[in-house]
Amino acid sequence: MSSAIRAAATKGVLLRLREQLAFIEKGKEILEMKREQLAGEINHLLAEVKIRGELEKGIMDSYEHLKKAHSMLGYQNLQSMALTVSQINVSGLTYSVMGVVVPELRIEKEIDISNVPSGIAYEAAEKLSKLLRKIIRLGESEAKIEKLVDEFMSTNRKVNALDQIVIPSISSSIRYIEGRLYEEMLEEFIRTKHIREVIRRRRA
Amino acid sequence: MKLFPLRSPGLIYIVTRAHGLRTHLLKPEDISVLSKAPDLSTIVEALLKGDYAQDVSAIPSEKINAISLTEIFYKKLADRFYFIAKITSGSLRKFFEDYAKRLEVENIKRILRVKHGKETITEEALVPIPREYTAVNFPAMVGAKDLDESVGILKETIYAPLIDGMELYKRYNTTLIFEGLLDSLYFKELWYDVQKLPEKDDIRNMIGKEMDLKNLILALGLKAKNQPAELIEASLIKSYYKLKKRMISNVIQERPEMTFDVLMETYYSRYFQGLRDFLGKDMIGDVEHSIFNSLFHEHSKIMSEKPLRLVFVPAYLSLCEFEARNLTTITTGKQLGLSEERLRSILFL
Repeated sequence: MSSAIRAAATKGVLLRLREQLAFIEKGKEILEMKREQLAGEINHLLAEVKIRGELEKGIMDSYEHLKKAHSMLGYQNLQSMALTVSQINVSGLTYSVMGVVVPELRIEKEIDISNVPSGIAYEAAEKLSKLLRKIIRLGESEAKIEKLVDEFMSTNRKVNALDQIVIPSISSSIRYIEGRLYEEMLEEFIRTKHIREVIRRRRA
Repeated sequence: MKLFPLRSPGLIYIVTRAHGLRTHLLKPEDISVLSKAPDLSTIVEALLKGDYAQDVSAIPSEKINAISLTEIFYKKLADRFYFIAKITSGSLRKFFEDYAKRLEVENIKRILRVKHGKETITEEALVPIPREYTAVNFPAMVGAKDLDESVGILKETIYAPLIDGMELYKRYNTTLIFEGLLDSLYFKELWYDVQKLPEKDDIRNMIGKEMDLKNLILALGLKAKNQPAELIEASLIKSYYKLKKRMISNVIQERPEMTFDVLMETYYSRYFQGLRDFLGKDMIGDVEHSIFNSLFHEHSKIMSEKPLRLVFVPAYLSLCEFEARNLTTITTGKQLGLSEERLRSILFL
């Protein structure tokens, strides 16, 4: 309201304020669309991270298998078998979702457990290697969500600021100027009418 | 009454010694009690009363853990194996020395796996074998810069054919080639020794079964991993007892759902009965454990049914090996917090 009071109540200012309001409302619409897109993307990713519970259960189960293999084979033997497993190769890339840079993990080379000689060690390795892909995907989704949620919150703050502060303030300035201009117009109209009456009386 | 031919004093002596040595083995009840122990220190306390006392008491208390204890169990196993070889002579000595070579084979496998993984290994990770009983230069193998050099060190030993396996190793990039070759060479040598033994039939039966069953487990394991037929064939043990090469080929080539039926047609069908589900789900670890458990019971039975025969001695050695495996399982399982029920399911009892 203070800016409304400070603003000069002229038609030029009114026009400029109306243009500004139209521009800001368009911007708000775009930001709302971005917010919706981000929310959609986050919702989609949230469905992906729902597997976390299942994954944790799977990890516990795999550890039980690993404990079993470890107990049956002994540390030194199991360790030597573990070294026959070829390592997984993962590269990290980035791409943009609504202007937000999010990470993407790409598995370049899958883990190869076919060299594990013992059946019991192979079972444990198989369970863990299957989970590894899911763990990588989960990590990627969680990192994406973190980035997108940051952007979502920032967009939300911007929309709220526009909605609750900037737009009401400009609207109020417009209303104030419109009121002032209307009053000035009325004043002018009465003054003109009064002058016309004085002139008419003088002529009579 | 069946009369046996006159037996040599050496044979009688070794069987008698094996009877005495058998009393040092932990009984199934002892293993059961150990599996119920609340923690590692209770197990250590129990071990201080038996054959392991000297070695266990030599470890500082802060260094007692599953790894140090496993080293002791396998050191004791090597001592037991080589003690039998030491007190025999002639063909018996050759047989028992070659029987003990399974420890040497295990060590070579461990070194080659580590070299394949381009990591380093120390001699502490190996089963200690007295220098006079091995032709393999383990310190040199351990210190070799890569797998090629490690395999090259075996040139002057009975494991020299591993050098020929390098080509297949490089093609498939797997140490399974070497592991198969090592088992093959081990059983070939042992099989040859068995033919020269007195009372060879029982021992042939015992070693032959172990060899065939290991071959079947190997074939099933490689098949479950979808390995190419050429690799499976190259990794198999090349000696056979009751198994025919054709049968192994059938196991490898048949559709997975038919594997059980193929196994039922072999001499070893009874070992696989009740394992249909495990085979169907490719749970080779459980199949392996079940079969070795059957062998454990069979070897225990040999000891009670044939106490005066020479087969008593290799059966005793086999039980020594099962004891080392059981103790490793118990100590490691306890350290990892495995439940008693789960622990008992993976023991040989």
